[in-house]
Amino acid sequence: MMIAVTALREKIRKKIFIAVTVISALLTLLLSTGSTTLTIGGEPLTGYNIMMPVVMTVMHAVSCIMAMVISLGTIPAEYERRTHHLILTRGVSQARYHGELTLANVGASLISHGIFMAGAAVYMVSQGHGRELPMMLPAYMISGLGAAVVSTLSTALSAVMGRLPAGLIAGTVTLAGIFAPLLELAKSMAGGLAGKLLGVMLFLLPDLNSMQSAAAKLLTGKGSGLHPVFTGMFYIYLFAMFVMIYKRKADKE
Amino acid sequence: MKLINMMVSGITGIALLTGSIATAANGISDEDMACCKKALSMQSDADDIGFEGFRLADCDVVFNDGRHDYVVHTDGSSEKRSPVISTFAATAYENDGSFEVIVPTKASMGTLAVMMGGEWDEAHQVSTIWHEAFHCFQLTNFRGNIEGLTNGHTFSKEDFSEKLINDEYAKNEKAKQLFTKQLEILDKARREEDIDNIREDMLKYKQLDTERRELISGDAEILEDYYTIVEGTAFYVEMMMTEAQSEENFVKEYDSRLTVFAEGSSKYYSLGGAQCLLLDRLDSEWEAGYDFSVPMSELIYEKLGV
Repeated sequence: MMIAVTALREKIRKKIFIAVTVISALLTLLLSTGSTTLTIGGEPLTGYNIMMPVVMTVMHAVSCIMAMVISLGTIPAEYERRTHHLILTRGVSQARYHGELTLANVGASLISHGIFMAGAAVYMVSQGHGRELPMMLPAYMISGLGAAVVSTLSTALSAVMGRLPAGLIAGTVTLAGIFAPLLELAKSMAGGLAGKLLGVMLFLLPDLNSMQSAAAKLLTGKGSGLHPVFTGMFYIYLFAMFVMIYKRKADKE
Repeated sequence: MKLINMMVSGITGIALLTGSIATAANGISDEDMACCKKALSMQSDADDIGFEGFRLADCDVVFNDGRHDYVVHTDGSSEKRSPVISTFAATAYENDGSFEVIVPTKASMGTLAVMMGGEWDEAHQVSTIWHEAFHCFQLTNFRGNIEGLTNGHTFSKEDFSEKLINDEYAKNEKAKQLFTKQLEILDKARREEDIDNIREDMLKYKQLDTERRELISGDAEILEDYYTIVEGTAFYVEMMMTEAQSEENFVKEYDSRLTVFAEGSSKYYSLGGAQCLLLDRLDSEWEAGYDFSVPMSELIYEKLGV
C-alpha cells in the first residue's frame, strides 16, 4: 500500500484539492443563493425536492470530470519520470504497481468527490434540511462510484495510450455516462441503425447518471435501488483488472 | 498464491456481474406505476366528462423506455416485453384485437421536456395516459365512424400526415391568419356570459371558417376534420383530466395554447379542444351519445341556431 499512499500524498501536495474546493464553493454559492436562478421554460426552479437533484447532478458531473483530470496523468507521469524503474527493480510486479496507482487515483477522486458533496451538504443545511444530513454519507458512497468509475477508466486508458487520446476517450465516455438519459431518448427517437448503435453504446458504457440519480433519490426520500451500485462496482472492477493485467511496454526495458 | 488471487478476482467479478444483472429493472418503475394508479383512481373524473362507456380500466397501459415495454394489464398484473412500436410516441395501439395505451416512461418524457425547455411531472403523464385511453375508446367503439371521416380523400396512405397540412398553410398566409382568428373567437365565446354574444361570435366564426376552407384543398379539409374530431376530443379529455388534478395547471398549460396557431396537426388539437370547451358552455351533457361522425362545430351551430 506504500505506493498508493505515496502517490496520494503527491496528489495532495500538488494542491489540486484547493482548486476542487474553490470550484465546489463557487457551485454551492451559485446554486444556493438568490443571485442566480435556474429556470426551465422560464419557470424558476424552486423547492428543495426539485433543486436537490439538480445540485447533485451538477456536483456529480463536475466531480466526474475532476476525477478524470486527477487520474489521467498518474501512470504516464511515473513512466516519464522513470520512477517505474525504482519500483519495478525492487521486485514489485507491474500489476501491483499499476493497481496501487489506480487505488491512489480512486482515493484522490473520492476525496475530490467528498469536497463536492460537502458543497451539496452545505446547500442541504442552508435549505433547512440539516436533519437529513446523515443520508449524505450513503449518498456520497453511491454517487462516489461514478467518480471512481471515471477514475479507473481514465487510469486504464492512460496506461495504454497517450494523455490526449486517453483524455478524449475518457471525456467522451464520461459525458455519455452523465447524459445517458439523453442518449436513451435519442435512441428511442432515432430508431433504425442509429438507434441500434446508440443501444449498443448505452449497453457498453457506464451509466454515470444512474449513480447520481440513485444518490439524489436517497436525499429526497424516494428510496434507491441497488442496480447502480452493483453496476458501478462492476465497471470499477473491470477497469482496475485491465490496468493490472495490461503489460505496459516500458516494463520490458 | 497466484491461483488463489486469480480465483478471488474471478469470483468477485462474477459476483458483481450477477448482482448487476439480478438488480436490473425487471418491471415497471415505481414512478410509472404510481402514474398508472393515479390515472386509474381518476375514473370518476372521467365519468364526469360524460362520454358513455369511457373507462381507462378497459385498456392495458404500456410504458416504453426505449428498450422494453412494461405492460400493466387490465387485471392489474404486469409484464415486461419487447417494444411493439419502434418509435418514441404516446399512442393507442391495436394488439391482439384490443387497443392498448402506449406512453413513453415518465423519465423519458421528463428528459425530452427538459431538452425542449419544459418540465414533465406526474400530472402531465396522467393526463397523457387519459388522452391515449380516449383514442382506445374511440377506436374500440366508433371505429367505423372514425375511419369514415377520411372518406372521399385522394391522398395516399403515406400522405396521411402532417406534411399535407404544413404544405397547405406554408403557402397560405391568409388561411393561417383566419385560423388564428377562429381560435381567438372560440376562446372569447367560451368566456362569454350572454348566449347572444356567443351566437354573435359563432356567426363570425362560421363566416371565417367558410372563407378559410375555400383557401385550402379538399384533402386538407378532410384531414382537418379528422384531426379536429379525433385529436380535438382527446385533447379535451386531456385538458379536463389536467383540470381535475389542478386548476392552476390547466390555466398554465392550456389557456395560452388554445389561441395560438401551431404547426402540423397540433393546431387541430387546440381547435377541437376549444370547440369542446364551448360545447360544454352550451350543453354540459353534449358528450353523451356523441359518435365522432360530425364535427363539433356542427353541433355548436345547431345548438345556437346559426
